[in-house]
Amino acid sequence: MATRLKESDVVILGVGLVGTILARELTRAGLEVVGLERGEPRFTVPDFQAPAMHDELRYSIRKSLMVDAAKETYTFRNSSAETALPIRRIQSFLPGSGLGGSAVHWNGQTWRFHDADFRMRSHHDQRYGKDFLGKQYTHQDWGVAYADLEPHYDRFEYLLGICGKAGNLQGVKIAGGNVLEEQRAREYANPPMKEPYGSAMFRKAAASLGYHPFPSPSANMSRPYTNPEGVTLQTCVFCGYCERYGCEHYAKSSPQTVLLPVLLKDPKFHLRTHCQVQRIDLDASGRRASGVTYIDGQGREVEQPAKLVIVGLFALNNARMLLLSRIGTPYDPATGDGAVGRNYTYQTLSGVQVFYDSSVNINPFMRSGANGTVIADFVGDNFDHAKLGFAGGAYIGEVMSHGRPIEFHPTPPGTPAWGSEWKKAVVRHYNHTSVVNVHGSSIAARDNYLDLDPTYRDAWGQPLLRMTFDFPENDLRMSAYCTQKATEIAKAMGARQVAGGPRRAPYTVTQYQSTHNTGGTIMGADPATSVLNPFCQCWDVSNVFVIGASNFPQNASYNPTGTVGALAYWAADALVKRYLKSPGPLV
Amino acid sequence: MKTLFCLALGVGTALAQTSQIESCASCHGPHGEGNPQMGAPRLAGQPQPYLERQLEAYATGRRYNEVMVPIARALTAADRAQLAAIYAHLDAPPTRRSAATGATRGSPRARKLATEGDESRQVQACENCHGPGGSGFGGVVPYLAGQDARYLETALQEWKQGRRDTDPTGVMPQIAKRLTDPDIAALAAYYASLPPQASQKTRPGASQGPGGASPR
Amino acid sequence: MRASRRWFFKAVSAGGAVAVLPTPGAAQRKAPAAAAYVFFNPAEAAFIEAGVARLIPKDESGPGALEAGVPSYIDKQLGGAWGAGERLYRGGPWRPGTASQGYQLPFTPAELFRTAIRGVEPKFPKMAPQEQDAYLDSLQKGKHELAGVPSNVFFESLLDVTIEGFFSDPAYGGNRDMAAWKMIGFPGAYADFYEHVDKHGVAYNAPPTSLAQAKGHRHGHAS
Repeated sequence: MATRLKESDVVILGVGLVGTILARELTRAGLEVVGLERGEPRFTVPDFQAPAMHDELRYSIRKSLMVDAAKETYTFRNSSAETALPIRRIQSFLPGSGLGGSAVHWNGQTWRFHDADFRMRSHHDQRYGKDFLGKQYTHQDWGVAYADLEPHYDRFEYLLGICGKAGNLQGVKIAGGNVLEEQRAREYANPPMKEPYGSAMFRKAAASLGYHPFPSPSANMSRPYTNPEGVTLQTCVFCGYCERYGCEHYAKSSPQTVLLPVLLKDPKFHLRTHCQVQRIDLDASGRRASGVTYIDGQGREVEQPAKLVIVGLFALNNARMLLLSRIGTPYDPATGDGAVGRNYTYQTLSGVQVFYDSSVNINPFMRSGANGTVIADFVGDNFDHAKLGFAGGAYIGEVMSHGRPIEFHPTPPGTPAWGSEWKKAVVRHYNHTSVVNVHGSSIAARDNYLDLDPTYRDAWGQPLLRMTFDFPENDLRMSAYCTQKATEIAKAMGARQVAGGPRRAPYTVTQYQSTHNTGGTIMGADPATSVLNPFCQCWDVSNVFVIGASNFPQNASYNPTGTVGALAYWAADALVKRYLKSPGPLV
Repeated sequence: MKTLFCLALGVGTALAQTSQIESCASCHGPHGEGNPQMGAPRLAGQPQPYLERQLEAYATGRRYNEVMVPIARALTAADRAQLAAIYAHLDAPPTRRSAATGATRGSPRARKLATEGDESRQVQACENCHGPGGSGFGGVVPYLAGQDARYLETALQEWKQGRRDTDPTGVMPQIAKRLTDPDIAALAAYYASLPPQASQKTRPGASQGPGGASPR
Repeated sequence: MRASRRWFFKAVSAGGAVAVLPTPGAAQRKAPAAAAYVFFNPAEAAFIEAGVARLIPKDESGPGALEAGVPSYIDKQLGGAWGAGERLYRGGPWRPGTASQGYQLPFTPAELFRTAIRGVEPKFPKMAPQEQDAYLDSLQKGKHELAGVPSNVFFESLLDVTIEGFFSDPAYGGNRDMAAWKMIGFPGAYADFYEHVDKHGVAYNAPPTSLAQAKGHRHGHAS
């Protein structure tokens, strides 16, 4: 029998980046906010301190900061023709769990999408014609424009203290920054990080080929920084333990380092950890949420009534929560009906290894999560696709983030996988290899979607989320094209040998690729083809807002977190200025 | 005084290495072990880039000490580099431990700050940068272990009051401002009570024995 | 103690290399005795020791997996939480999947190793190195079924844990004396490279550090 608690103004699902931002904005507006986090509380001191944090086996390989697959995972298949099976060991992506979510152990790469990304359907129809891409692609407009989000990108970047160099300040292009970016109102909060050696060689090579290299924007601080909330971050020292790790120095932007010190002092915010939300409860009409039901750390079922529900879970789990709660209509790929779970997308990644002479010391261990140099010349629709037969693109850059040896021991093609030759090659190449990354977009396709698995369940007895996904042909072509461009740059970096290849199908869950799982609760202007309206409000249940990368109708070339943060502030703005004054559908 | 007189005489001429070292040694000890009564810190085995930067800082105003400033100003950049190299390669025995200024040696609070930090003050563990046991790191970050307590306390106060600008990361003033005066005294006493370790110099080409920087 | 005990400017020219005397006791140090196995029985241990010695052999570039203590690492992992299936989704039904769907066997790592090793060639530890390599190669290519375990699945797990044991912190039993890190130049647990990252191309030569050095400020060996 569930214990029913006193009603709260707001209940927030997930106390990660989204949950923390929304909690802060809504408590600031005078509301009582309950934040439910499935994992444990954790803080920079003591939980992220070195040297214990610098344990590659524990944190990179065993993934101690991430969700425990024994309790909950996902099922996966490449197509509806197959039977989905559990991802028994989660390798391909790293869902966070615990206070701060995956923003505790991210790399800090923080970008803004292009206006064309927000209008991908109308933009491509206009520029290339309605028949340019096949009918199996379901890319859509978001219902918001870059101009709508610009002030919120700005706010998010200043909350985090993003370090970079503007390339377009109010329409004025600035060499050395990303001259291809959309215009921004003001310069970055902090100057770019130091440029490592491999990145410098990439920059020179890219410039020599006529491209426009610039420093990768970073949520790892280039200097001490006090944000508008009065919280101070410290300087990143390039320890080389960034993604998959908490930062011991207070140098990586995360909820712990940008907002929680203030939020946790607010008596209107009530943090509850070890709370596994089972579903959002709906009233008899099914059009209004009455609150949520969760299982606490001791296994007790608790009902938390609330007037407003904010869903800020890891992206995949946002979709799952709506499906478990029977909010909206599940997507059916056969008919195209329903919107919850449609347009699941990912990131299309590849790389080129650059093997140097042994006199060239790359020192890969002296890195941070978001340092380096990139080009945007092949991002999105920054280049003419008319004769290319695909949409989308990739940023290309030398953004190595570490040299941790279990994960990084590059050897040239043809080297055996073990034995004396392997060992000699590892010794020869470990400190003399750079990697050029190709970070590509992911178009939505009719057959890639999320729904609930019919067979497998989590430790609480709830159906797992089923992922049906493979790389669409469009993205394979994009990857081939962009990887070729990356290879040309790599060849100009002065190495002895370069080796790499494009992303190939099928998508497999057996190796890490990216934690940029996007889509599934997409936003848009049309309730028939989206789950959320342009304010991130559920079309079907107007007191439920969903915010996350799950809102993206398709994924762009850049990392998603910057846009997630912008959506969080955008939605918070709509909530505080409009919704709270007059609760109900905003559209 | 004799030292300064000798230096003054030497201005404008190349100073012999021996007399330079002797003048340093008159305060910092014959082996660079420091002299607590004179307030002269231990220099032996500190990283060469660190020592060089301090001399430059005294010369250019980024760090102030009434004795060190004129000395540093009289040195050329080459002198500073040479002196730093010499002191970086020294080993020296620990001095008689200087009395802590009213704080308990090895206090739990100090140990916690040193190895864990303080979340309520958003302060990380000292050893994240200063290395295991405060033994220094990477041939650039100075050791704290076995340093003079009064010197350490003075240094942290200089950071706290914004009177020292020698940390390229800019973090030391941030940390020191978040420490209370008793924290600073406790940390100084704590690190002073630790035995100084083998020097942290990098040894290009030398084979590296097991145990890294651990003392034998 | 080093030559610096003497009046230093006789031994050193400023900016030049320091003459380093060998650390006393280094010549006398022996490899520490292998820790007792908690998981492997003698036959399993013999296979693992012989196997890892071929996967990462001792050679002129440095110690191999055996010298580095990798069998001890694997033993403790299999005998511990990971071996028992920590963080592994163990709900049925189990079905064979496609290559994209990853591991779908019902075995925990401990069960996988125990089962598969039952099926390996018992003469393996006594075979000549080239024969051992050929056998491992055939395991890698999936040419055997090891008591029900496809040999390529077992081989991949074995190679994974061998590399882990070779390169992980010595606290886990492998990478003895940080030998693997020294071999490649990886600095280990303590890490602050702010002043080094823009010294492009300059080799970093400070000795590596490990988690053991956090424990106290005095210790004999780092292990």
